[in-house]
Amino acid sequence: MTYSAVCASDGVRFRRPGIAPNNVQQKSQQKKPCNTATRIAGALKALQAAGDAGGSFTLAGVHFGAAGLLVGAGCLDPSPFEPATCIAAGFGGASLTAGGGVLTGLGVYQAKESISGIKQAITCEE
Amino acid sequence: MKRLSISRSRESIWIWLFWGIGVYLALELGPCLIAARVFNMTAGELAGPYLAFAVPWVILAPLIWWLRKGEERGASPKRLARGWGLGMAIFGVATVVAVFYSGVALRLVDPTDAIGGLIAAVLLSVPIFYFGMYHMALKRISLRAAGKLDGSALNKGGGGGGAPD
Repeated sequence: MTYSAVCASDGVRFRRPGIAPNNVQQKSQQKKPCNTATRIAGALKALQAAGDAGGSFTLAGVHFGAAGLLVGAGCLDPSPFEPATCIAAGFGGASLTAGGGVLTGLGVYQAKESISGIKQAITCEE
Repeated sequence: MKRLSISRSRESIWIWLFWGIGVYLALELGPCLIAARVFNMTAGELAGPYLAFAVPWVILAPLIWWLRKGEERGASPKRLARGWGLGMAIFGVATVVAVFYSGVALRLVDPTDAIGGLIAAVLLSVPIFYFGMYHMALKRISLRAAGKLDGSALNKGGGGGGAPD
């Protein structure tokens, strides 16, 4: 097999004869072959993303629960340090709720990734 | 100045709101300053999220005052617990809305992604906040009403100490 040398700015690269130029090569690379390996890769991607989404939603739930507990602990029972304890609990509760909101947003993104993986496993298209 | 004394916050809703919202807004400045440094944003850009995060407390603070007054007047523990649960659920929804509004306003989140996240966050947070707070409030208010829990601070603040109806 003969190789032709191609001059490049960073030196000399060798190209196998008969291989398409870069732009044609990129287009052919975009469309992956639809085989079992592609489908398994899609299914694995879906499983991983679903697991991540589940973890994010669980953690978000923990954040919401902790926020409720904090506000309950600070505001339900009147304390001698009123209203400081309730304000601090409210601020902490809002911060935890905000964290839970961000985690839920992340979970939704991961759930979408999971759907994309399922689609890949079924149709071979991302 | 004596009229606005923090110790009188249980007597008047206006004193309670003055201190409650004032201190909360001051506490909010900390995260805003951090966000201004981290995201390199101006005060004008952060004004919207700052106010959005103040809304949940502006809703919850008067609710807390009314619920405590209701307890002093002897409202039923179940009704009060429902009020606490509802208040906490509204507080949670307002906070979650503030999070996603801020994300969109600060161009950190795509608006289409934010809508899906907001719906999921509301669906997840509302039952946790409502039922969590309902059970916690019902337990504590019932115990106080039965005189098993020390309600000395409540009695000191004026009122009947949560007499059962």
